[in-house]
Parts: sequence; C-alpha cells; structure tokens
Amino acid sequence: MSFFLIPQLITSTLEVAVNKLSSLDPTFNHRLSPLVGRRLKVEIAELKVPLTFVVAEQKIHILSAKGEANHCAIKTSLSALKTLQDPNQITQLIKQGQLELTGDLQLAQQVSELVKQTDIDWEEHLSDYIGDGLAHKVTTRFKHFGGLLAQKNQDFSDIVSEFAQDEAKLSPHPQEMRQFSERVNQTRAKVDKLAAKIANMSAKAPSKIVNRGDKSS
Amino acid sequence: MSDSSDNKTHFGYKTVDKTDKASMVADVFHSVAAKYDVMNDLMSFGIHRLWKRFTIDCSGVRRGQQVLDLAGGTGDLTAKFSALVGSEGKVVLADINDSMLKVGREKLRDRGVVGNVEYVQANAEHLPFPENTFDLITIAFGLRNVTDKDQALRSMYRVLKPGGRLLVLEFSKPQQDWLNKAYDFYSFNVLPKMGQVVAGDGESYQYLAESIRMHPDQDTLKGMMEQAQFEQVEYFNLTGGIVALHRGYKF
Repeated sequence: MSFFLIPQLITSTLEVAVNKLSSLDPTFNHRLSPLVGRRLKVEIAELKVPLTFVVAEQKIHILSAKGEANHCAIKTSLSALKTLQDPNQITQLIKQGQLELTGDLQLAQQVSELVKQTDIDWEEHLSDYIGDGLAHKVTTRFKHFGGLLAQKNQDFSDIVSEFAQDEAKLSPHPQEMRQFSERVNQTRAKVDKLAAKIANMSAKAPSKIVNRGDKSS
Repeated sequence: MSDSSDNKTHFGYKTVDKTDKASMVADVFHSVAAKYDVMNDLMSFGIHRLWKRFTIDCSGVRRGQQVLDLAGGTGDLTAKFSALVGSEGKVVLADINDSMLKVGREKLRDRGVVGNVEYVQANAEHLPFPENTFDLITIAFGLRNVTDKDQALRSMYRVLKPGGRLLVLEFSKPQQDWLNKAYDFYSFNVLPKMGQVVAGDGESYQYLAESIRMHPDQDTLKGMMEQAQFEQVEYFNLTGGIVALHRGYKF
C-alpha cells in the first residue's frame, strides 16, 4: 500500500495551488482571519481522497487525514461544487440530496463566501512579469477570447437545435410546441367539460346505473 | 539489534563501543548539517516530503496541543506542526546534535516560524521533560541513530500524555525482492557517490546506507514499541516498505 502516496501528492499540490492563488488577492488573508483554527473536511464523490482544510494564520493547510474530528464535514460531487460558491444555495443543495453536511453549517457558508468574494486582478499580476501594456493586451484578448468562446458555444447549440427541429425532425420548434400544448389544453378542457356533464347526469339517475353495473360484474 | 551481551553496539556495519556511538553519529551530522535538505531531496527524489506529509496526516494534531519533534533535524515537521497547533499550542524541536539544531532554528526563523516553537538539545534516551507532557511525539529518521532504542522508546512513553500517540518514521525493509535489489544497488553504489559530490562527504552517506540495513525491520520495531508499553501499535509501509511509519498510543 501507499507506494506512490497519491493522496499526499494531491494534497501537497493542491495546498501550493490554493495558497498561491489566494496570495494573489490582497484582501484574502484579512478575510481569512476569522476562520483561523477551523477545520473543514470535504469529501468529493469523484475524488477518493478526503480533504481536510485547516485554516492557520496566513495559510490554508490541506491534509488527507481520516477519522479525525472536524468543525464541519461535507460530502458532495464535483458537479455540485460549482453551485456551492453561492452560500445561499447550500441549504437548497442539502434539500436536493446533493450535499451531505454534518457539523457547523455556518462554517461552510463562511468558506463559500470566502471563495465567492475572492477576486484576483490577473492583469495587475501579469504586469509584474510582462509590463503594463502587454498585460492589458493579453487580458483583453483573453476576455475577448472568452466571449468568443461563449458565442461559438451558443452558435453551436443553435445550429444543433435548428438541425434537430427542421432537418431531422427530432424535436419540435418552440412555436409548434406552443401550438401543441394549446391544443392539449383545449382537449383537456373539453374532456373536463364532458366529465362534468357525465357526473351531472349520473347524479340525476344514480342508483339504477350503478346497481346494474354492480350486478353484471 | 545491538549487541546486548556487552558494551558494544553497531555503527553502520562496524561494531563500536556504546559510549562512542553517540559522538560518531554526531560527527556524521555535523558533517552533513549544512547540506542536509538538499541531500534529502536529491537522495529520495523529493519523496521524503510525501513521507513526512503522510506522517502529519496520521498525527491527528489539533490546535492547542503540545508536540515533541524528536531528532527534528532541520525542522520540516516542526514547521507544519507549528502552524497546526497555532498560538495556543507548542512544538518542541529536539535534536541531540547542536549543528542540526542550529540549522533547523535558522531555517525556521527565516521562514517566519516563531512564537510557539522551542529548541532543546536532548538525548532521546533521557528526555528532559516531566511525565505526561506531550500529545504527540514524532521521530522521523532519527531512531536509527539512537544507541539504546528500547531505552529511548521507554523515555518517549514516559513524557507522552495518556491518549497521546507516538509516530516513528524510519527506513525499513522493502517488501518485494526486486525493490530490495534495486534499493541495495542504489544505496551502496549511487548514494555515497552522490554524497561525495554534493556534500563532499561520501563516508557519512555510506554510514547512512549501512545504518538503514542494521535498523530493525517493521515487525521487530512494532514488537519493541509494544515492549515499551505502547498500545494499538500498527505500521504503514510507504513506497514498498523502503520507509515505514509506526504508530502507537499511550492509554
């Protein structure tokens, strides 16, 4: 066992990454200080290694300890992790069964808030290495590229849905869908009316019909 | 595996007087102290960091606790423990060798690890602390060099608090044959040359390789810990048993 010490490799890499990233936000340590001494255990379904985040002065330590007591422990999946960034969503996620939480809910919310508020000025940090002008250019390009990517993504899904609607007839056009559901509604209204009529009629002449039905069965 | 019959013990493959071993080990570490960290990274390909991380993961150390980092050398474990026990806790870095202690103290102060760390020059066989002092004792790559290991384990048991645990991280016996052979070749042919080139001291690293072979294997050490009254003793083989972490509790 433990030939390659994978959990330790993961936690040490993650620890360096987390602390490097947080050091890029000048207000991070200030916002971290109320959490000093707190332990949060995170188990992600896809990752077999349980991660324990221990907040110390100026630094976050990540351990892969088992069976130790923590202030708060959460079990979740990678997909739910993104939603976790919004502190208000935590209770929602618990209700939906996507998140298991034991211990201090407030700690989870505080951490979520911490992550959400972390704002890294990439342009500023990049300028230390390549100068202001170039840094501005790169980040603008990057943003532009991000926008472009989102646009292309949108275009692609448009094309796919158009193809599915018009060419392959796999799915209906929204207009068709609306018409269809309108027709369904009308039919339902007719059926309801009819049902009411029948109910009304059988109320007027109830016993005979019902009795006869009972006998025959 | 010391010669319990008389006053002889082993120093690597050599047999020496028990009274001489401490000073001979001391010479080794005086000689390598300055290059200790570089050599550790080089010799283990950086894996010693992961072995130490594994030790920390098994320590269960919490805020406010008292930790003794025995034979703490240049303070890798101390730095981490210092952060984890926080300002309410305390870490004592103890080493028998004052050169190592000085290098460790300098390094930790440079890294800003101050406030809850104390430095004590101490012999593991006679720890200068009251009974029931520490929540956790670690000895990483140190027990091998202690002359009377049983005495040292008893001494650790004495200063450990009830409920506390001892972690012994030490070279051990590789579990597979092929690994054993590769490891032997590496430690007797490559290692001393590496030591010669980088630290300018091949002999010390020859001693290192020999002392690892003379150190008790996994089950023997487990038995020794149980002899010293530790309970629930278990060990974890790391990297195929090249290193093993032994853990025992005092209740």
